[in-house]
Amino acid sequence: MTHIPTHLGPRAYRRLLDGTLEEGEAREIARHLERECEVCEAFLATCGEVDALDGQVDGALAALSPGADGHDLEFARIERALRTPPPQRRRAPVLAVAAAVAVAGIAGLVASRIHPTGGGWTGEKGVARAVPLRLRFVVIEGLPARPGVEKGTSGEVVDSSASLQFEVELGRSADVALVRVSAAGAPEPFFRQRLRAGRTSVTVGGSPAAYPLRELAGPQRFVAIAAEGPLDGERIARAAAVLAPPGRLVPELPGLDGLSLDVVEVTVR
Amino acid sequence: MSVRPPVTAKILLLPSSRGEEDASCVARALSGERAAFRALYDQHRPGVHRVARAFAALDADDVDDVVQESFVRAFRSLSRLKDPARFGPWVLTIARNRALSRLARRRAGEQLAGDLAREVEALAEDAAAMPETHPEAELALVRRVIAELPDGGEKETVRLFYLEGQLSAREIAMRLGVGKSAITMRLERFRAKVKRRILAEVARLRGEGS
Repeated sequence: MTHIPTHLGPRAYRRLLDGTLEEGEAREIARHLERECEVCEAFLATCGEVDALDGQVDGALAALSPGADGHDLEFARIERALRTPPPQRRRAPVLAVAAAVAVAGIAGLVASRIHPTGGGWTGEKGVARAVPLRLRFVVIEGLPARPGVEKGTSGEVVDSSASLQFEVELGRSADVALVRVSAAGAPEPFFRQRLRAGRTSVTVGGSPAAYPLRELAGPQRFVAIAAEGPLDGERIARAAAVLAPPGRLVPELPGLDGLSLDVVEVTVR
Repeated sequence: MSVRPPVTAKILLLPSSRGEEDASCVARALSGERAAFRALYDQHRPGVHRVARAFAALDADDVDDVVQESFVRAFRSLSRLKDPARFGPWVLTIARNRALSRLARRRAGEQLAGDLAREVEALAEDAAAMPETHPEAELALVRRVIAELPDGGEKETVRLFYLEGQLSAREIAMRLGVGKSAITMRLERFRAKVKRRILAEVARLRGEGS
């Protein structure tokens, strides 16, 4: 008798996963799935709900190569979230924030992106010497008349008419400096302040501040440097001297001992 | 044809000990031991992060949010996990669910997202119902699926995303000069091939009475 292939359907699939499918039918499906079958692959790609097979597949795929390790800052955010009750209302999507900014101006952006924390974070892995640090930015175009805001992505090309608004996130309070370094020319520190743990948008004199890109061209590297203790001008200059693009940033570079770094890069056209 | 663990399979950690280690961490986490939460996070964060960044429509901040939400949900529901040794697949499932919910919310509003987001408890039961498989054999199987792909865009995308593992789907789209949705589709198509082969193994085990 000719074997008629049995394509997967929702019922058989569900029963296969929960273990209620008759053994003979399971064997038949096994034989069928061992061969190429575009119909079944299309079904599996679109069969709706996420289920345990997805977890198993993703586990197998994750084992192909090491992925991005976790870090103290992210784990601290998870711990903070666990300490608070589940939110009644979802956090506003960033696009909505951007839309609001276009209406309300840059001050709205700053207010919406500052997330100070009540106390210091104690979630260190072992005895952490460096301060958990993350640097993010948004690209502001159309200033001053019609400001438009987009989340920035490191590596992107940005028009020289734009400005960058930076946000620093810290695992605990620290002295922070922001420095622009380019392939040519001296590093330019443009912000230095003691910041508390959590997210803080860069302000100057209490007002939101954005870094203008006019008169710049080519790759620009913006570096956040943080230290738990005092971060004086000499230490910043020593660190900035080894940070120029296109060199790779590694903690072993001279002048970076005991400092935390995070970097974003843009190419100005 | 059955899938047997190959002698030369290169794996990152012995799967049986991984599951046992996870079960031990879950037990310690449930007793309030902070280091156990951290151990679970450290072990599974790379996989969770990879699941999230396979969706090219999610940017880096979205991916961070998905990673964070996944662990928060998993840790909050830890006591409901039926088989603690399967913490890994479970948190990966939550991550996929979170990523899809986020995209659905963006496309169609809160209603659809609510429909998509299954409760973590239901996912925990699903995970417990799966038969025991050999993760090292699954890894070998995945490698075979990659090797069998014809040369071209899909294979290159899979190589960059899964084998090299440095770039997100979004970054691969930029590097290859193709649309973000095309990269997501390539990865999903490949994933469906892997899913078919792993499901074949699940069906074979079910057919043997597992």
